[in-house]
Amino acid sequence: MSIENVSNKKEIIDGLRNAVVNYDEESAKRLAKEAIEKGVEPLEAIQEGLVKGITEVGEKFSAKEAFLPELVIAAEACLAGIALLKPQIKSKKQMKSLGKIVIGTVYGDIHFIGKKLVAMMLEANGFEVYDIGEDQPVEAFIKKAKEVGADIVGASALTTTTRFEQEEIVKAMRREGLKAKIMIGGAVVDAAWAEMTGSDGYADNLQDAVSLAKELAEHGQEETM
Amino acid sequence: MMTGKERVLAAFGKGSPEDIPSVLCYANLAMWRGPHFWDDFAEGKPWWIRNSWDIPKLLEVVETQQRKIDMDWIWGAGLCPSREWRKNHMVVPTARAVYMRDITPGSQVMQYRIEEPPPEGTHSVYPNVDLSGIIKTKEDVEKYVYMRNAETIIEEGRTDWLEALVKKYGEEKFILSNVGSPFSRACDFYGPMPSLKLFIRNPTLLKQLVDRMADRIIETIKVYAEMGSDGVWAWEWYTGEMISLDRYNAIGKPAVQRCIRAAQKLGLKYIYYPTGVGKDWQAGFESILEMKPDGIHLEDSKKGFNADVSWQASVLKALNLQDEITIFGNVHPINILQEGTSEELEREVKRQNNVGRNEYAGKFIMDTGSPITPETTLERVIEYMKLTRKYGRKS
Repeated sequence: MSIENVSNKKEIIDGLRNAVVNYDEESAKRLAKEAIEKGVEPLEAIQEGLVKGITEVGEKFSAKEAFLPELVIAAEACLAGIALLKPQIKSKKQMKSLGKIVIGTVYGDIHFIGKKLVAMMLEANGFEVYDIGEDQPVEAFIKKAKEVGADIVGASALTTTTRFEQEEIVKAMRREGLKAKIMIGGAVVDAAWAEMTGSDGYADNLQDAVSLAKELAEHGQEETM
Repeated sequence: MMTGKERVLAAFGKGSPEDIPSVLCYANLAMWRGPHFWDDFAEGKPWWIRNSWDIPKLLEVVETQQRKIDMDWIWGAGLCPSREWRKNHMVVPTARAVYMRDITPGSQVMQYRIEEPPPEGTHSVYPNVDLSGIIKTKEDVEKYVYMRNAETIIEEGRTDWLEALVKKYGEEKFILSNVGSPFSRACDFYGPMPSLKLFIRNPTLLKQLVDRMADRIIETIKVYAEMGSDGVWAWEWYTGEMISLDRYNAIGKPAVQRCIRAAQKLGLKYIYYPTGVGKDWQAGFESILEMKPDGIHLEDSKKGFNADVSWQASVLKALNLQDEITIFGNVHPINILQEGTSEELEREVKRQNNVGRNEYAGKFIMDTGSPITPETTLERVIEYMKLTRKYGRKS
């Protein structure tokens, strides 16, 4: 059944976007269910509603109009809606993810807020995300990347004392001959360090992390064509 | 010739001191939380004496550390496990692994494996917990965030390590104890992600948690004052771009303020270390300065923020606080200390000392902005310390 009432459909999609922008998880879930009941195309509800909402909050975050508490709650609202809508997507082509990403915080470092938010944003934007957690040794990144056939591995480091672990991950990935692209991030990471580690790129903030992942996933696909 | 303690106290006083003191924040990383300098300082002692709390041996490690690096403070003069815990726990090294054995009388003997810390150290902050399902009311806060008063902490023998340090170094070095900030401690305790949500969903509960943590910290401050510490260090991580300034001012600041006053009333210097603070968050920096901690230490400039000492000095001077608050150097531990050339290191040490003494009239303590990295050699640290002495001298 497809929705006939265009204004009703627009209302639902706008409602999903507003639910995320207003940090309202309950409304996001309620409207996701309503979208399913009323035959709104789930992919459209996700992309035009939820993802637009989280992108807007991400932009506010970059502009310092929103902060971490807002971003966390908005991302959760977005993912709660996606969790309901995603299983309803019928076309396999439509369901295809942008890529598989293994993400974690390096050994000796238990910071996770930035990493978690990046993981949430990537998931909201269509990636299949495997978050291996914090304080993870090099081997854990390699193991998971092999296990899931990762397209990208993301390593986060927040302290001056743990940054070198990112380089170890890059070296180990190359040594193992893994094709996955490697992106790094965290407060102590900059372009110079990203280059020094031999990684495929680094992201300065959440928005950049999503853009970089999309770019790396695309390049990865081109290379395997 | 001034002692290290006199140098630090002079930097907290008024007027330009003879020598700018030189210290290293988180100097215990080498000893407690990571082995990267352990071999240099322990001289063959096994890593697990950190777990067994062998105080005489640990004092020897500090002694070697001080002999080689010669800082003006003793970092990490904090609480240790209770005397009873130490009596009932023993480390059992075997060929395959090292175990901690609990031999508490009347209970089953328990044994668990302990690991050598990784090169980068282990974190002392709470792991990724979530107490949102358990702590929902003020009563829950009072039930689960238990209070131990100062007398009990001392009676339990949890100050034995501090006492040993004070006895050995109390005359010549500034004894610094770590308390953490109530705001960060509360959020770590409740779980960082759940507490971020509390900011929006239940700020009242968050404030109750923060206030309770402040009460607990104040008891610890009393212990430190009683046992002979000279100052306390409080790391804050909900600053910078983490939360809005309004929320910091409403929830975090009043509790920090109480801790500052409690320390100052007891004669301790309160050093506040808010992370992520730079030019872009100047309003926040100014709000912090209103609390008038004795010392403010900003971490090194990182991407997204610039916390140059010259900027810090200009802000404090504009607020006419140069006679009240001491600032710290923040040499970059990677870009300068670890990776810079000797010339770059010398130039930066000279520059920061010049800012401290001449632009800021001497209420200045030389330090790195954040902990030394595992990839930095001891020789490099010694080179750095020598430079800080050279340029810290009043010419």
